[in-house]
Amino acid sequence: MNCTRARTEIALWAGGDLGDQETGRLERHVALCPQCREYRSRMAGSLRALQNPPPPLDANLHDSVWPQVASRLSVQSQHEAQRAERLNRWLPAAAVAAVCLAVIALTSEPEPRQQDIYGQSLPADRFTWGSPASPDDTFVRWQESTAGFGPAARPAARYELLPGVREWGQNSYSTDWRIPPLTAEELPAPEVRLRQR
Amino acid sequence: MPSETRNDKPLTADVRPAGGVGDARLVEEARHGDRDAFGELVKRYEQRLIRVILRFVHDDELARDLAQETFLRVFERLDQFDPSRRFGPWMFRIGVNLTLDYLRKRKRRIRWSLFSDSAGDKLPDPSAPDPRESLDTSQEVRSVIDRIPETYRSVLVLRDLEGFSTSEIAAIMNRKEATIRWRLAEARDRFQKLWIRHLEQTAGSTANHKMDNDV
Repeated sequence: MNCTRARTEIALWAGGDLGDQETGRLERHVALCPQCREYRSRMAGSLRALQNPPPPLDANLHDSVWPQVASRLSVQSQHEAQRAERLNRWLPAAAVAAVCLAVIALTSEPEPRQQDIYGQSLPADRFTWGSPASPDDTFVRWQESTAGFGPAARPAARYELLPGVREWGQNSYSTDWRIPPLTAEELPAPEVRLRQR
Repeated sequence: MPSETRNDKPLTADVRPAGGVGDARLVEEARHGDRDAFGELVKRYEQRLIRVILRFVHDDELARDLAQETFLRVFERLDQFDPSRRFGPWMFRIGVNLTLDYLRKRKRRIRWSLFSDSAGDKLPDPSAPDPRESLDTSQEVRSVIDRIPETYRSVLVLRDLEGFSTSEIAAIMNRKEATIRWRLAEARDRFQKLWIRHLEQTAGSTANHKMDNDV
């Protein structure tokens, strides 16, 4: 047994935490090692100070904390009941709304080309795709439904047409753009074909 | 020299008063919402828990508050309790962790307040009596224990002040018993060194004080 191991065991021995067999082995080492004997003496002295007598506690251990715990548990359960009640009140409406959203999501047709062709700067909710006059052309109808009528509301007043896009027909509240068939080289990048002024 | 290991009765063993029901049964009933069953568990363990917490916080009211918090958490987490294990160590684990968390937060707050206070406020008044002189041995022991790092202090307090066995501490701290035994040896070694140094300093200051008086 080396001294490092012996000192660990001395610390355990001093508090009564070493088995008989290990104690015998430790005794044999300590008998031959004056440093470990000195360590054992110091350890035993300090453990006596620690354990005998243990520091007293000025505690009130007679009054139970259960009344306070029970009262707080009651308050908690009241809050939980109120939360559950609120949830139950909103749950049917939330379920109906969720079903409606799911139905809308499932039945509505995706409009991927709109974003793909006209980019992010256009108000997607105000664009509707028209019927193409020819299979080679693509039409889009911009309809101002919230800004009112008059020249200021015309889309052309707020959007400039970039190369490759022609205005097809317009009135005070809607404009159709016709996009001619172009080769890949002629097509400007999707996000710059229409740009907000 | 002790010739054998301590054979204390396990302090966290399933508590079953004569004619009463065991912890496991009470836990099961409490899990099904029986408040009285949980109340019985609280009454069985509260004194022991408050004593353990007091060893760390040294404040009666605070220890009672932390014990209340512990029991509330225990109730909230009853669903997570493994009924094949003993209730006592699990409950003490929650209590000890809660207490150590509280102490860590308090330490951070104190550090911050020391940092933000002006240095002049911290200078001791030379005319005031040295408060260390009024400390009795138990307070001296406590002040030395408080200087030991938390990892070792927890084991030292639970073993040497509260008498839990190393296997119980292993269950409370959720560590292997071998780890706890190693930490216990290290904790006692650290206490021993700090205690000797403390005694030497005390002896030195007493001798200086005596010399001053003689002059």
